[in-house]
Parts: sequence; C-alpha cells; structure tokens
Amino acid sequence: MSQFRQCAAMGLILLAAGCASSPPQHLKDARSAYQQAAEGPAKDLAPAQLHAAQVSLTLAEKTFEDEGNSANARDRAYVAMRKAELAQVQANIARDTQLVQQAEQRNQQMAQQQQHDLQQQLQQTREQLNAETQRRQEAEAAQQKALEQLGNVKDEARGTVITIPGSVSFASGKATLMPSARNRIQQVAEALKQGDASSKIIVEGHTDATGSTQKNLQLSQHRADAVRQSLIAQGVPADRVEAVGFGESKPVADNASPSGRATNRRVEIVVQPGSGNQQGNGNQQNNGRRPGNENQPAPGGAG
Amino acid sequence: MKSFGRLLIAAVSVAAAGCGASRPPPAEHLATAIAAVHGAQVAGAQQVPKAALQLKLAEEQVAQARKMMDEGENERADYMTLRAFNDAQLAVALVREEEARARAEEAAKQVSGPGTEAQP
Repeated sequence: MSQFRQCAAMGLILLAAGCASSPPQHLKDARSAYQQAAEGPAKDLAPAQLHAAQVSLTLAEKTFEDEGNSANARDRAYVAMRKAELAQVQANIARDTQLVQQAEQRNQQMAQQQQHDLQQQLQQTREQLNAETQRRQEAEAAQQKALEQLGNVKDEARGTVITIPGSVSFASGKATLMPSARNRIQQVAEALKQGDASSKIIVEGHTDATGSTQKNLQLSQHRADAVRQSLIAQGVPADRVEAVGFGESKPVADNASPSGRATNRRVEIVVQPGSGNQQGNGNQQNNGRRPGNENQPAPGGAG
Repeated sequence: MKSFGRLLIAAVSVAAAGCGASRPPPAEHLATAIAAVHGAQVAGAQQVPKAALQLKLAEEQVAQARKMMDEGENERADYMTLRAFNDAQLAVALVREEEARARAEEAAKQVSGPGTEAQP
C-alpha cells in the first residue's frame, strides 16, 4: 500500500516536472547563488541578508510555479540571485572587518605590552636611582655628621686641616685636655686610623697674642704635645704624628677682638697626603716633635 | 438600483485588475532605483571592476524601466526598477568589499611587519 503511494507520488512529481516548462537560467543561477551563500560564512556573518535572499528565492520559485517562464518570474529570479550574491559579499566584508579588528587588537595588545615593559624598566631604573641616591645621601650625611663632630675640617694645600677650637679643648693657660675634648680627639683618631696609613699627621698648637710671645710658644707646643699624646693613646702610630707649637705667630683672626682671639686659640691637626715610604717602620721610636729631628734620641713622651 | 450600481463597480474593478492596464507607473520605485544607482556612482563603483559591471547593469535597467513606463508597461517597469535597485545595491557592496579586503591586507602586513622588515 505504502509502496503504491510512493509510486503514485513519484509519478505525479515526474508528471508535474514534465508539464512545467524547464526553469529559466536566472532561476537556476539564483538557486546555486543562494546555495553557495548559505554554505559559506554568510550564515554567521550576514544572516539577515541571507534570509532576505531566501525569501526572494522562495518568491521567485512561486512565481515560476504560478506563471511558468514568464518575464516576471525571470525578473524575480534575477533579483533573488542578486540578493544571494549580496549576502555573500556582505559576509566577506564582515569577515575582513573582523580580521582588521583582530589585527588592531593584536597591535594594541603588543603596544600595551611594550609600554608595560618600558614602564617596568623605567620603574626599575627609578628605584635603582632612588636607592643609589639614598645611599649617597646617607653616606654624605654620615660623613657630614662625622665631620661636624670632628669640628672644623678644611682641605688646604698643606693637607686636610682639622681645627679644634681652644675654648673646648683647654682651660685658659693650661695644656691639659679637657674631658670634653677627649671625645673629639678620639673621633679624629678613629678617622685617622681609617684613613691613608702612610699619611703624615702634624699637630699644630696656636695661641692668641695675649701674653708674652715666649710663653705662648711654650703653651702652644705643650698643647700640641697633649693632643699628639692623646692621638697616640687612641691608637694612632706615634711615628705618624708630629707636634709643633707656633705660639701667636700664625693668627687666623684679628687679635683685637675677643672673638678673634678665641678663634686664634686653637689646635690644628694637619693630615698630609702620604708618600707611602713611611709605612712599616713602627719600631722606630720617634716622638716627631719637629720635622727633621728624627735622628735625635727621643725623650720618650712629650711634656 | 443601489445594489446594481455596487455590482457594476465591482465588475469594473475586477475587469481592471485582470487586464492590469490601470496599474499606475512605478514612479516611486524608479526614484528609489535611480537613487541607488547614484549612490553606487558616488561610492566609486566605476573604479572597482566587479562593481562597475553591476552599476552598468543597473543603469541599463533604469533606462529600460523608463522606456517600459513610456510604453505603458507599468508592471514590467516595476520589476525592472527592482532589478536595477538590487544591482546598484550589489555594486555598492562590492566597493565596500574591495575596501575591506584592502584594509585587511594592510592590517596583515602591519602585524607581520616587524618580522618581514628585517629581511632584505
């Protein structure tokens, strides 16, 4: 029974096909154009246009069914073909636009990555620079602090000159170091021990112009000796240190005013850059009172 | 009498619809097609070979539609304006397709640029 039905249906279809005029070329073209578009990317990228092409093709098929190969049917098929082509073209446009967007996105990501890397490098450099600056500032501050504790330090032609004001070192007319001065001497000694081991150290005593020249000369010598002894006691090798009294002969300020006289009362520790050949002769007992008297027997300690 | 009049009007209407002579000229559809053709010209369809072909077809069909309207073949003219419109629309799309393709090629070149630049 069902076989008969199938047979009958087949027969009817064949009959219908035979009766109808063969489809116009435009309709065949429209069908294949639509099929091509439907199988391509238009389904995803231009669905609205593909649907419009489908509707147009259906209309063309119906017109052909109703009217056969009429001019209207041919026109409808022509339009359906163009709509299918349009769907495909629009899908191509969408695809290329996507490609451009993806490329732009990649470029942007790359640019962002580059900028990120650059910023990281910059940040790293900045941090290094900051750390370096901080280290330097700390070192400078420490040095400055140490110098401030030492008193007045100057670099002069004769060497580095550390000035210890007399007012903080000695009582008036005395050659005995005040306790407050010992700390300073200790700091100077530490600095000297850390410094160039071959450098020569000359302790100079100076007074103001008050009193007799002879007495001032003696006082200045005694004070220089006291500082020298103190340095040696703090561990500075004795052969590196000389003590010289200049009395009132080398004022640095006007002796007419009290403040000028106070400035002139001072002990200067001059550190001369080393010549290198004075190292390693620590056995030589030399009180170094004056340059050039190394050959004289040392009395063993200054007065 | 009244019912006879109605019948007459109905009969005349059916007759008119049947022969199709009363169909008005598709002036609006023609205008739409002409505008689409103009749009394709402005888009630069002349400069893109595939688009130039569609534009030419559209222009010819507009001329044909005009001729059909002159001859009173309004229905055929309407179909012809529809063809012209769709060809013009396709012409514009083909121009856009060409532009998009060029942009995609340019973008692909830029992305692979650093690698290819290093080569002589």
